[in-house]
Amino acid sequence: MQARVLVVVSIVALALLGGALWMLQQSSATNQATDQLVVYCAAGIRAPLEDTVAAYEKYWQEKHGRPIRIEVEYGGSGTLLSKLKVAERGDLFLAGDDSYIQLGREQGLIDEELKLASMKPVIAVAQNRAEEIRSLDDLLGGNYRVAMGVVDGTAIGEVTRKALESAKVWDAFQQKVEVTKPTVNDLASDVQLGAVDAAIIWDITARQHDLKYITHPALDAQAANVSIGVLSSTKQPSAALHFARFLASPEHGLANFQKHHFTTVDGDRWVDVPEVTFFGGGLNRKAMEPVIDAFQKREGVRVNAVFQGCGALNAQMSTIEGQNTDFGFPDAYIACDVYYLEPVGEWFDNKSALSSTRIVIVTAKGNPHSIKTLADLAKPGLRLVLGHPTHCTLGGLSERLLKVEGIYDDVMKNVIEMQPSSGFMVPPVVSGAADASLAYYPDTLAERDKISVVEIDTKYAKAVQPFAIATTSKHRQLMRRLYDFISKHRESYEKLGFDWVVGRPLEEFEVFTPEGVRQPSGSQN
Amino acid sequence: MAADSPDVTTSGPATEASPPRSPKGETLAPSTVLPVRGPDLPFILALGLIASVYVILILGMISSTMFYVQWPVVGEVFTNPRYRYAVLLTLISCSITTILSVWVAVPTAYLMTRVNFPGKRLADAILDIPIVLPPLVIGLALLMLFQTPPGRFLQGYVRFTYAIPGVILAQFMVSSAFAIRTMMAAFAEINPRQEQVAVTLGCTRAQAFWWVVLPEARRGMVPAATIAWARAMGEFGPVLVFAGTTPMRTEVMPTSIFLELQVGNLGMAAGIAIVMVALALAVLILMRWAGHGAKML
Repeated sequence: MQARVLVVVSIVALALLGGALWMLQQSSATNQATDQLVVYCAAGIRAPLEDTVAAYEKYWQEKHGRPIRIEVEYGGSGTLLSKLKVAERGDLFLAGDDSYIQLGREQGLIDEELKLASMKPVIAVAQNRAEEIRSLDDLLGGNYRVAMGVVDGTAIGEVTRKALESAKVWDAFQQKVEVTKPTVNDLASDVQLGAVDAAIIWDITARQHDLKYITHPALDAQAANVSIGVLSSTKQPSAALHFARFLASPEHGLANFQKHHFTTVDGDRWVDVPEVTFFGGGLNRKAMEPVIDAFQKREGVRVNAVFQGCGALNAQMSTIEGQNTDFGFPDAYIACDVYYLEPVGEWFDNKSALSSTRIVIVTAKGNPHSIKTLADLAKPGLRLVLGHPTHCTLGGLSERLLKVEGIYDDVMKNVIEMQPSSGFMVPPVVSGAADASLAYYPDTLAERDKISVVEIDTKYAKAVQPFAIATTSKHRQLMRRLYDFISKHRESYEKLGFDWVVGRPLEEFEVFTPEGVRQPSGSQN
Repeated sequence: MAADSPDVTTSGPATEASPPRSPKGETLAPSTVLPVRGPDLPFILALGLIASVYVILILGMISSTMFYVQWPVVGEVFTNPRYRYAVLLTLISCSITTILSVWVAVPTAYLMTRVNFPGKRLADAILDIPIVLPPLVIGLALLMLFQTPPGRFLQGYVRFTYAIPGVILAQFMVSSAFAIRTMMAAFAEINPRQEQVAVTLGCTRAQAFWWVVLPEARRGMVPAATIAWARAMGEFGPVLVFAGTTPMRTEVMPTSIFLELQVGNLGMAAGIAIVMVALALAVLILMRWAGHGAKML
């Protein structure tokens, strides 16, 4: 009987506890939200995030008339990173510093990154040592106990090493180190409790822990960012990005960050569904259109994309007063060639090279006239088609190319037709109306089996498409993400015959135009 | 396992050969207290000195924590819905874990002490794994386990990862190991003679277990439950990694302390810690008391 009592009592107790647990769960899930986002958040950023989550849930309810639940998972940045790697669940990752976002991106766990706040390393000093330690020299000169972050594992440890190595005091500092700790908060707690006299931590952490701190130029140079990343595992990228944009907007999230002592970055002003204008040189259209379409869907934004000849686009831009994006000035611009960015360059920044297109010689199949170099185009009797120098970029670039090579006048004798668009360069050769033409390599792919292509070995035989963001844009962060997004679509460009030059400095492609050679200024592509 | 032998009361012969009730009192360990005589006094004092160093350390820890407590925040632990949730979740999950741990510990410990089987040494070593593994590794291993196909299949029915069942499972993995060790020690102390007599008198092993062993094992269950409960309450690493730290969902008291520490809120962290110490003491005393009652049953 006693055994039975034991078993019965334990079963009853278990049932009661299960019931209590169920009730507890119900009490917390007050609204059965249909929408839900999961955010992994570095524990040190809890306060501003919590405030923003509350504001966002309220905003969402008012805007959409239905609830959303933002579920937040707190932990150390590194721990969270390993966790989300295993769990493959969640939408956003708010890291203590952007080195973890970088790490996540390298591992393919994170797509977009939105910067929120900046921070710099400082020397936090224990209350009772604040009078004695007033500089890095004081700290190194005296008999003090110092804690530091683990070098291979914490961002703060890594920046400490970099900063002190640059100040040439790394060895001296290491001799003072009594303990290394796995998180910056552990370091702050140590200083707060007086377990050590000083530690190098982030200024934000010091302010959160109400610690006195001193700065040093070498440490200032190692400033980092707090950013939020969109997880590759998210199944609702536009919802995730909507919240991320809310968090990164000065009216909402960034205001909360400031309230909690963070130094925030310049964020895009909050708009529920941002609408931006994008100008693209006609050459880019085929490659860009599907990419922009995917971008709109992913971000949940509207992009008004205008593809035209760059000359026309430039002319349009110069008529818009104050480069005001509300009146149609583009938030971002991809020109057909770096040349076309120059006249409007002062209105743009964040200029980066994206793709390039080779200019090649197109001949009939088998190259019956044995054209091997540009100079061969001057062979007597050859029927040649070129682009019109003022009507299309290709024509302008071709003219410059021939002039730089010093064969312009000789080649022009063979020109039977000047086409107004780069798209018209291959058909005359295919139909036999011309023996050769100068064309963009992507335009040759469609008729590949009917023509032969001769490469031209000079840096002038190339159009480079630069991406740039308008200084007047109200969505500069969004436009940076557009560039990043395009950067991930290398295949769709290469498939069309473009060369990929993302990551290479734009200066590399800025070509010197010799005296007397007209700047290309096409109005068509 | 005990519930598996309901035929005990119905089968005729078994009732006839009804095994003897476990003799009350006799199986209880006699008092271990010895009188202290005059010449023993220095020896006893020396022992007391060593013991008091430890006790003073404990008290010192508690009192210095109290020094950091901002007392008004202690009230907040019960008034703020987030902390209150953490307190309730801690108490309920630990209690469920404790019962489950004892359920597993009794049969496992019985097998390990009273039955010989091939691979017993290996099994013994395996049972120690949760004790020797770093807590974080247990959490990580659970997380990985539930990403495997069988794990995902199970999660189709009960969600463990980042959910309350995960909290209980994480606590259970560690608590059970300690409960089993404690039960094994208890079974080792119990003289198997009573059980042998029951079997000789016609009981099956199952009947003997139900009628003799289980009532006797009650003495071991109280310390096993106590240690399981205490381990579960303090469990942090596996819960953090496997069940997460989502407030109002999987946040237990150690998690709250961790989260407060991470934002430099030492006062709140200490406040929650003190509440935790008080609750733990209360529950342990309650268990002792209940255990004492159980012995008297």
